[in-house]
Amino acid sequence: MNMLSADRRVTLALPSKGALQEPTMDFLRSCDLKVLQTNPRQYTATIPTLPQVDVLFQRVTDIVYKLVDGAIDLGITGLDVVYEQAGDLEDLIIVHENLRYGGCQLVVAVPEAWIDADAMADVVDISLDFRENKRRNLRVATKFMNQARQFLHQHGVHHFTLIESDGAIEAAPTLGYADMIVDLSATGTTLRENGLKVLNDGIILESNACLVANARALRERPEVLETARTLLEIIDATLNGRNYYQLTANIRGHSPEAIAHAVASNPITSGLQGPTVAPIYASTTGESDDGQWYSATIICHSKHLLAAVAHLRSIGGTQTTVIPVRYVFLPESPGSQRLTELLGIPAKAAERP
Amino acid sequence: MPAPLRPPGVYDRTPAEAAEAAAVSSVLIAAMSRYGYQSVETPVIEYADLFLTKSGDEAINRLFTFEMYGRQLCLRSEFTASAARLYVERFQHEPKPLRWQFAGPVFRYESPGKGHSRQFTMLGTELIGATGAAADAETVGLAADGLSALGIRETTIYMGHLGLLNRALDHFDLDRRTKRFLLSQVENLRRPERGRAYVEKRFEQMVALSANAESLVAERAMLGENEASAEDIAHALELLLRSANLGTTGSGRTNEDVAQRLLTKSRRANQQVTIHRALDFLHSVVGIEGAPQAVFHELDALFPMDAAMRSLLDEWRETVTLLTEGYGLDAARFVLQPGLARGVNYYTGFVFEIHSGGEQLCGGGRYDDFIRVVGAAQDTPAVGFMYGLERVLDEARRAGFRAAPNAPQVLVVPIDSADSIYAVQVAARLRTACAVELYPPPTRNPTQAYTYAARRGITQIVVIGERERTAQTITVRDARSGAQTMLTLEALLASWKEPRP
Repeated sequence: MNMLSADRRVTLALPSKGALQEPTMDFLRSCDLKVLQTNPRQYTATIPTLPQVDVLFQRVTDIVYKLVDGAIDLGITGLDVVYEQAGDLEDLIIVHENLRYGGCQLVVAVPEAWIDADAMADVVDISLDFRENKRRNLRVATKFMNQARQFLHQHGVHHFTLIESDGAIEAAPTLGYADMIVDLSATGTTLRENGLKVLNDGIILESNACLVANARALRERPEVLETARTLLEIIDATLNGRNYYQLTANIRGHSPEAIAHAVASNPITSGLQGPTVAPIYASTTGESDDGQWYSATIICHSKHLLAAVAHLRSIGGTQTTVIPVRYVFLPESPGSQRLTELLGIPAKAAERP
Repeated sequence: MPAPLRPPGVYDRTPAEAAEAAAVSSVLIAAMSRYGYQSVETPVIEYADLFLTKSGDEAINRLFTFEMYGRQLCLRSEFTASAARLYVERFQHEPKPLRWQFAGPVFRYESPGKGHSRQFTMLGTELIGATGAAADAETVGLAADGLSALGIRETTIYMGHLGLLNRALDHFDLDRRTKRFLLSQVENLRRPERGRAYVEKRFEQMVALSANAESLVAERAMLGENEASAEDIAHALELLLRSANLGTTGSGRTNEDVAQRLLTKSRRANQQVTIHRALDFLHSVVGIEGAPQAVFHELDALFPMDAAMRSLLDEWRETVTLLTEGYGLDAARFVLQPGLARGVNYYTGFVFEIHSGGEQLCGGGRYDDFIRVVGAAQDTPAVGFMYGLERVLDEARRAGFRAAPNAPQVLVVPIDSADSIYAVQVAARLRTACAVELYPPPTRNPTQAYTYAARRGITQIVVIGERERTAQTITVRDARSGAQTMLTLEALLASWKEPRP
């Protein structure tokens, strides 16, 4: 670790297995941060576009442990694991809290047959029933001991026993070693298949993949801060890029201004600043009565794609081509700005060297 | 190696701070001792279950817990639970009352960033096995007395009475849990941003039935004469579970359990009118605040009085009279707040807090059920309170309390290593009379030692060199004037016995 810092090298840990492993590799590839693993059996790798970074493959839980004690500088892991193991995040800084994959919820679920229970208030009452009538505690199976305990107490459930269990938690009530569970659920299918339902106010956390850093490394080692900023910049630009398409349509008109005006008349196709219009030097030369051919290029929000195409068509656009936008770089990366605020670094010191 | 880190929320005390804390503690401890309270020490680590018994206390979700070989342990977050455990374990058959005092660190996992400490120091008393106004007044009187011994006299004493609230709610014919729920909501009623609407919503959530459950109860009720029986509902539930393919209730709860609870819940929902009346009542109680006589007057008018309530109210009145007439506390310092509802699941009688400079310095009250809940064979009434030392420290400082400096009076300075043994012997003799520090290592240049003495606030320096060693004398140097005299050890000790100018 000391040797690494002397070399100004930065360690980035990625999930070695589980639900986040493949999606993380795909995500980084989509950010042009392809991870080069010379040998798939090895636990190290490199990212050619970030030469200062050593990639380590670890289990998502180990990533958090090692981030907390400073053995690694940066890591991609699940928000659920971060909150479970890093407590109130004293040693960690969540650099980017939603990489928009690996989404799931940490929920409180009870047997569907408990038709008297729909909310946490019911669990309060039921836990008292257990204590008074059955002389034992309500048993809750979970892998997320800390969050489960905290959430239950917060909702006024104080008499319960947590059963720590690592796999097939959703089967615990049927198998009889717990009365209810706290577990992750992506779609709810597994819960339903096991005869469980999520309580109305039983959502503990909306989780997804996130980028996390050791707070001290970020504050004290410029190379770590610099790497975090670079990652943020490219991640923000990529995620932002996914919101947009670039549309190019060929339109006949009398002047570039007239075409620009027609295109921008609809806010959906007015682009980030406005359309770009360029003449086309068509093979069939000569100007007809409709004017000459121009190509108009705009950026539009992906949810408005079809409306944008329709508008271009309505003003005579033909041969509309659509290209996904890889990146949108804003004047400053919003994530980077947030990081500056988080670290409380004066703006000047936070500038890139 | 990076600099070692201090975990967030815990703090060191430097020598000056530690001296100040010790001085303030000893004043408070002395005050408690003057009332006959004996020091008791309980472990910092307890089973978490013990603290969870104080159910509903907001400190519970801030408990520092950890697991060792399957047992859930915790760092104590207060003393009463440990006091009750110790009592149940070893003192149930001792003559009562027991007067115990506690002092030491307690731990709460406060979230960081709010400037909250996670370790702080509590001092206070538990008076076990004593009922009545005399015991209550003694607790408040002692708490105020300790503070005034530190010069903190401009305090306000807030008092409430959970026994009265509890008893008054009995007039509303509520089931036990609904009553408990209402009591736990008194704090929310007092908070302007929550208030009555918030509490009503909480209640609705508590009794809400899903469409499935609602129809189940309603259908059964139609069949029966008045109300469905638990068996009826359990039977219908069985059919429903089978037809809807909802699986089973699991091993923990039977269909009858679920059915029974559905019934209870729907009955509770039918209590709406009663609940609203009870809420109206609590709302008006929460609004009352003021000087004792005025508040007692209002309570007389407001409460549906029965014999039990009248005697509670009389006892409270007597407590206040004892405090003003007996303990000599100015009546103007008392503010009665019948809605003061600290620790509703735990206190059963009067509760109080003493505030100064906008800070709560201590708090406590009567808890007659708790020791029984922890495991005592008999009802064991008790009353207690705790100071928060860190807050008291700040107030004591503001009130002008200064800890006496604890520097030693004498610094013994050997000149050469050959003088070391004699220096140690001299220091040992001098220590029979005062605090002595030995200056290490022997130094040929005593000026450094003089500078050190000045910084430490040491007034006398004893220099030991070859001359002194051979003559079996010492040289005494006045740290301020620099005047030196050579004399024998006995002469110096004798000079201290004479009255100083």
